[in-house]
Amino acid sequence: MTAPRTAGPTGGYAFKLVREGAGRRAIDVGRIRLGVTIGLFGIAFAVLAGRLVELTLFAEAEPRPTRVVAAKPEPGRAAIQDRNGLLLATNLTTASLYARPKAMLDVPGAAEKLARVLPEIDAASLTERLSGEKQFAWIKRHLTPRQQQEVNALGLPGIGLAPDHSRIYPQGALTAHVVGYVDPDSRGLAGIERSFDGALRRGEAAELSIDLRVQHALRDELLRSVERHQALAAAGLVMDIASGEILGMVSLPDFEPQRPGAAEREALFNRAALGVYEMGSTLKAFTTAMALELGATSLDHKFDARAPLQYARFSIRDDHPKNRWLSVSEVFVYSSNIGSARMAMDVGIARHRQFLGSLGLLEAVRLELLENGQPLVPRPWREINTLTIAFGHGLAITPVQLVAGYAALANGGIAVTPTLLKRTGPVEGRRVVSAETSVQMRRLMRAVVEQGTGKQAEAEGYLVGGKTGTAEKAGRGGYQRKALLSSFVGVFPADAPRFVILAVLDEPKGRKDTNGYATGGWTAAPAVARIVNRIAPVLGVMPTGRMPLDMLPPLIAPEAGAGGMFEEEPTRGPVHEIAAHGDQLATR
Amino acid sequence: MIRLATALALALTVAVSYGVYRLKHEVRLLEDRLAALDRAIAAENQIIHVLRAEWAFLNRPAALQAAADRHLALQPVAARQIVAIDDLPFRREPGPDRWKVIPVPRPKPTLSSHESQGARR
Repeated sequence: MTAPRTAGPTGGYAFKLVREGAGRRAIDVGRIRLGVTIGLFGIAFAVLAGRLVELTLFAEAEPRPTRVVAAKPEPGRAAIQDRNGLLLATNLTTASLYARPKAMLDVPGAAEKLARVLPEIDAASLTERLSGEKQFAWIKRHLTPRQQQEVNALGLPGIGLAPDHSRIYPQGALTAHVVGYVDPDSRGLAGIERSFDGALRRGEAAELSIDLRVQHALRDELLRSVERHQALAAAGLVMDIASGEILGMVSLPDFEPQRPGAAEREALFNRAALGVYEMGSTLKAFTTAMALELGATSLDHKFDARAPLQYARFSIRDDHPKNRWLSVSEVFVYSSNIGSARMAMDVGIARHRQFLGSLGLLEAVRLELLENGQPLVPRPWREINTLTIAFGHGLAITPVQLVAGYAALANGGIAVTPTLLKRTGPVEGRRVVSAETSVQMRRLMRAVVEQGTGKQAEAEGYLVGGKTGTAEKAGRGGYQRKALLSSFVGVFPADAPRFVILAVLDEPKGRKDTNGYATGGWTAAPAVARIVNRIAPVLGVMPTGRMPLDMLPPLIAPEAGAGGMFEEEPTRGPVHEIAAHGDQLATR
Repeated sequence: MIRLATALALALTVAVSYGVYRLKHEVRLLEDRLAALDRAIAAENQIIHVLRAEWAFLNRPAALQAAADRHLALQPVAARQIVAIDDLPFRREPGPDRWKVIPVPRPKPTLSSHESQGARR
């Protein structure tokens, strides 16, 4: 109250309303002030009320953190899928058993009870482990739900279950080398698990180019071939010729990615991507394409194969010497070492090297794996290297490189970058050979299957082209006559190729029904035929009858009296070797 | 006048307090429900996740192939079984003698003729 106050006679306060003069003015001022105050408060409350009404009735409820953690679609490490979204690796939540020895009352008694529930635990050694000064120890990782329940039922003090993640691989060994594996703490140790460790941890799923159906057909048929020929090992690849996507990658022997520790070192090794091999005759496709591109005028261009090629102390010979001039087609279909060496010689060291480099054969491929084999390139590269590399010796490359090279020859001449990830956009690449050369190579590869060493790669109803390869493996003291690396690279459909298929068998043995042969044409080629028959319907390739008229393969006339001419590589030792004693160069 | 206002304000205060209390209580109940639902969704997602892994495991191509070999009389599709629609012949015009094109009953094809190819698998 703004009215003047005076002390009353009793000492208390008393109000005396003054209604005139100065007193009256004071009251008016007081009323105005009161009114203003009320007004201001009124406005403030009105604003508050209005805001309240707005919030409760009209405004969208603002999202706010709830007290529970929002439901996550996947716990921890992201999944790895094939190109159709099938699971190759995923995480499951499990529980792991731990102990806090300090809090345990009766260590031996608890150990005995646990051993009864978990048979793989030994009570004595567990007692010893828990008797030390440790604060914490894992007893067993990843218990099954039943085990969890049984351990809980024991109700032991100092023993507990902690939530844990376990990486599981539903496909087992099928994609073992591609997907890789992790350690018990889910850190990637091999394959995609290792190369994409960071992304997978961040929850980014990896979608691979692998087609599980193709992968299975490839592995199944390679397993069968390995068993049939008692081979030490095998590798196989299926690649999309245009995009470089790898639809199937198999290396045998393989392993269970769930338990990599139980596998032998040999089994963990990825032969398709990490192994480098002297591939033998399959490399002649590159020599022939180079000759067509840079040297020879046509498929009928002739090269001198009248006699073994002498070079310094070396002599390059043919299995079945024709002892005459051979055309480009004949050199390729007969798989003539002399002819191939002459082709490379005509082109010259520098251009040969540059050509192989443009196909990506001289440097490691950048596949999305850390396991990428480094090719073994001769340094220095002399003329003799060019001569032997022309027919597949002296340069060791990975199967992935070989397949990528064939893809470029067959797809119209564009180099491809091999990849294990699914591609979506269009793919660009540099041109390595002309479109015409690519067409000629398709015809030649088809001729090998129609008339030459690759007859057993003929898949009923589908046009397969390709090239066989049989290389003696380099071992102690030179090349071993009985230890072969037999392979077949197929392209199909041969008239308009879409896929390259490779099968490599390590030291296959001959059989009665292969007439004792263990060569590429007898071991790897039939495997490729079976693979084609199985994957063609899956990949949507329609069966076709014959090559189009303008792409008919060149006819290679069989010579009179040479019945076994196309049995390219008989097992009676190397018929032609580079005969330098002690020099580790020999081939068939 | 002032007393009336005071009384009114008091009554209003009590009413609003009660209202706010009710509201808060309701919100709490709803929040509990939300939390329970979130937990249930998380559990459900976890189960779906496990089932997806199990589905992938049970559908391993090798397992399917083994099961098909054991239980089905099916074989891989051979190229000669695939025909383009253009390669099919036109149907004959329906006419009075249409009954003539009804196929004659013949023995049912048996599996034995396929077994030679089945051995490939």
